[in-house]
Amino acid sequence: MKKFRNISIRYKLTLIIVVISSVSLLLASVAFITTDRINTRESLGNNLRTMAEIIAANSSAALLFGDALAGEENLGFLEAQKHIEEVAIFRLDGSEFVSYRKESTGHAHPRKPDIETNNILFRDNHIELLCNITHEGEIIGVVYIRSDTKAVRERLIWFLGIVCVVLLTSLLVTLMLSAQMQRIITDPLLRLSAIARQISIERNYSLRVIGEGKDELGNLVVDFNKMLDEIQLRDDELKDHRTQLEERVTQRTSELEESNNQLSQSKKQAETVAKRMEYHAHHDDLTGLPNRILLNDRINTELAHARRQKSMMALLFLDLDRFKVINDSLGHAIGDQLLRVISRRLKNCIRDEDTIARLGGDEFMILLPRITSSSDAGRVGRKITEALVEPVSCNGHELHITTSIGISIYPFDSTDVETLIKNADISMYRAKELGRNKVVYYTAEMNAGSRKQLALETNLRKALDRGELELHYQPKINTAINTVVGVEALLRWNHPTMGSVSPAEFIPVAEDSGLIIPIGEWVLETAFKQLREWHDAGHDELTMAVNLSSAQLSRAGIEASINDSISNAGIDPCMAELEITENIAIHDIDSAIAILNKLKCTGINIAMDDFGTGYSSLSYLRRLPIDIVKIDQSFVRDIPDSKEAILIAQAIIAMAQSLRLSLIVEGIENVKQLNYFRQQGCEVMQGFLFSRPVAAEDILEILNSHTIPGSFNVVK
Amino acid sequence: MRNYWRQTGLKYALPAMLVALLSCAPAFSMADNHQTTEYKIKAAFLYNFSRFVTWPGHARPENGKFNLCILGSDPFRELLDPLSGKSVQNSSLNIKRLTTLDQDHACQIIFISQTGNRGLKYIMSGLKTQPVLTVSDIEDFTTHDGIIQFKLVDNKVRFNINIDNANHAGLTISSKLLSLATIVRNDQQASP
Repeated sequence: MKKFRNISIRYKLTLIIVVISSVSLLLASVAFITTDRINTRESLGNNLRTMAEIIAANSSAALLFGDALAGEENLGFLEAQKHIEEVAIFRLDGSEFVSYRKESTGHAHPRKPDIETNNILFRDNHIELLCNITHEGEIIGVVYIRSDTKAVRERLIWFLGIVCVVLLTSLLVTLMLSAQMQRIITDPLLRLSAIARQISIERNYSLRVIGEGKDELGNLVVDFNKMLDEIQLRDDELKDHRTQLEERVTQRTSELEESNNQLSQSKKQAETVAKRMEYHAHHDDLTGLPNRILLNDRINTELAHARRQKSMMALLFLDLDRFKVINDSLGHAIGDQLLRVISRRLKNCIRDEDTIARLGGDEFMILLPRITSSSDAGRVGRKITEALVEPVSCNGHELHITTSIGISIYPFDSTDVETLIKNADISMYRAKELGRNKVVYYTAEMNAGSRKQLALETNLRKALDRGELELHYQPKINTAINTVVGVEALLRWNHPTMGSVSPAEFIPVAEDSGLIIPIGEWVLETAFKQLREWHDAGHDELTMAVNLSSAQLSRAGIEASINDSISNAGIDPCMAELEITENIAIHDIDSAIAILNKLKCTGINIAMDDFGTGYSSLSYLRRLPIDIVKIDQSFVRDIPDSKEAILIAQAIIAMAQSLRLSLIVEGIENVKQLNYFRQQGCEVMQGFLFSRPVAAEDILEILNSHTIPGSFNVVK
Repeated sequence: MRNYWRQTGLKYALPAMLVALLSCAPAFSMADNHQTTEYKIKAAFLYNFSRFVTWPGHARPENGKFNLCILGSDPFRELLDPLSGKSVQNSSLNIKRLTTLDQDHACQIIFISQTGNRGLKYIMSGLKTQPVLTVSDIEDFTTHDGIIQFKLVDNKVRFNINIDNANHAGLTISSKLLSLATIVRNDQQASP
């Protein structure tokens, strides 16, 4: 069965047709032969019966008359009947009357055979019959007849032969016909499969199967073609997609190449830029000197080298003295120019292997590697200070510049970079403290001072919350009417362990750390509230002066903060005074002027503190919206003994008068000074002669007592 | 008792024996009593003739009696007795022994014995146009208007039949009977 399944359909069809036709033919043949056999036997039987009856009829007379001769004559015709083997006539008593026997058969019945009459018997290859002989209804004897059935057998063989021939012939014909007719089925199928194979090999989906007919095969062909239509459609779409994709890929590739070129170009540019950037990253734009980054790099390198070689190395920290003042008063352009000139001079003072870097602003750092002794560093420092002695001329200005230099030495002052730098910084500040234009070596004590500053800062942060800060007020006296016209609020810090800390000590710390902002606000709030109390107490002519640091003024929102504290206290802004210093507008003079103008518009008075100590030019002063000028106590101190001091004071007074500015004299300590300035026409004064800065209660006492300390000395 | 058995056995055995005798006629020809055996066969033949001859309508047996007549001296004697009453042509066989031939003998078959030979011509002249089957032992009987004549061939009883005489008599004789007989025609000599 499996074998059958695997053979080709054309053979299957042929086989099926042949088998079916053979089987039906065989069945028909069997039926035919069987029927024929039955018929033959029947006809043979009938034939035999007829013969027996004829014999019986013909023999009745002979039998009745016992005429054996006649009886034999009657049987004579049997000679022609080849299949008759024996015929015998028996009398009623069973004795034989006459008989005929074929020569070839030895078979004989001397007596009547004991078989039923009128019944055809088929035995072996014989057929026999016993038939009564009657005459007019009376049985007068029997005739026995026996025939061979050779005819039947021969006929069967004959038929079998014919059937075989017919079967073979029809098989052959069927084979030939079916071989042709199976093509009706298989040809379309083969065509279909051939096309399918061709399509799968060539991938040519435009091929179609040609087929006609509306039978199942025709439908199959139609459906197959429809399917091919669909596939071709899809294939075309796919091809289109692929073409588009390829185009896109090509496009993208060229784009990529282009952008790659651009990239490599821009990479080159980037490299140049990077080189430039690197230079810029490591050098100061203004002076072309190495910057902090490059310096750190070199310090690290040299430090490592020094460690290996056990050599010495020095760091020099330079800060130009009063450079900010020059910058603020003469403008950045001149400041920059000055820096460039100084840079060149500094460069000339050092060896090739040394590094000089600008750290920003007016700060410089010099690295001196591989020095033989620490005095080498001091020598370089002095060389620098000497190099800066010669004034710098910029845009017609003759600028005298000095520098403070701090030195730290590896390995004595520290072995790590940060500490070395910090120590150089500290010693530089020490140089400033020592009066500028100095070269100072680092000492361990300096570090202690620096630590003290750090402790100060830490404590200061807590001071506000702990309520350690306090405002003291120094009265301003109008000496003409001998009345307290106002007070200046001054900050005091009473630390539980450190005791009273000087403002000169903690104010710079507050400014550096940014604590000046909350402290400043606290000062403003407290001072104006205090003023309010005094006004409420009936001293409503009193003014309150509050110092405003440059750090405060440069802070955004300072204007609102001041206005808020004034309005919160509910005082007239005219009663408020803000004291600023000359260097108030270091960073942005224009915005500082704008803020001051706005404040002034509300009625607040602006006072210039420490006038004459800075580099302020008159034109610069004129731009500031100042109402009051306070003569610095450094000028007052030497009056009236120093002629120079008197001249300066006179000049300031003259200037203030000509500019219509009010004038306050600070630091009046003795009557001589009081008298001098009174002679000069100055009325409002401030100083220990009248009162030190005192607590708020003391002020109230002074106000209520109507006695001005020292006023009795006033010449009336 | 013995006698009874003997009697009754004979009584029943007789017809069977007769039939057997009739059908085995040639065997009896060799019997000791030659004469008796011959006439026994002839008696059977007489009866058998009646079964192969067709009589015309008007000569059919009357009153259900088929008359077999013996004219003259009876050579059969008691041999014919068993035949009496047998069924012939739907009638009962009746043996009639005649000394003279009456006008209204009503015989279907007449056996004319030798003894009656004297007036054979006369007898035959009266009978030849009557529908009567005439049978005799007389030589040349068939050439003298007789229909059937017994004869002995090889000690076997055989017979001649004159078809023309039978036709004259209006009788139809079965071909079967004819095939056993020696046929005699009036215009020719009887063949052997």
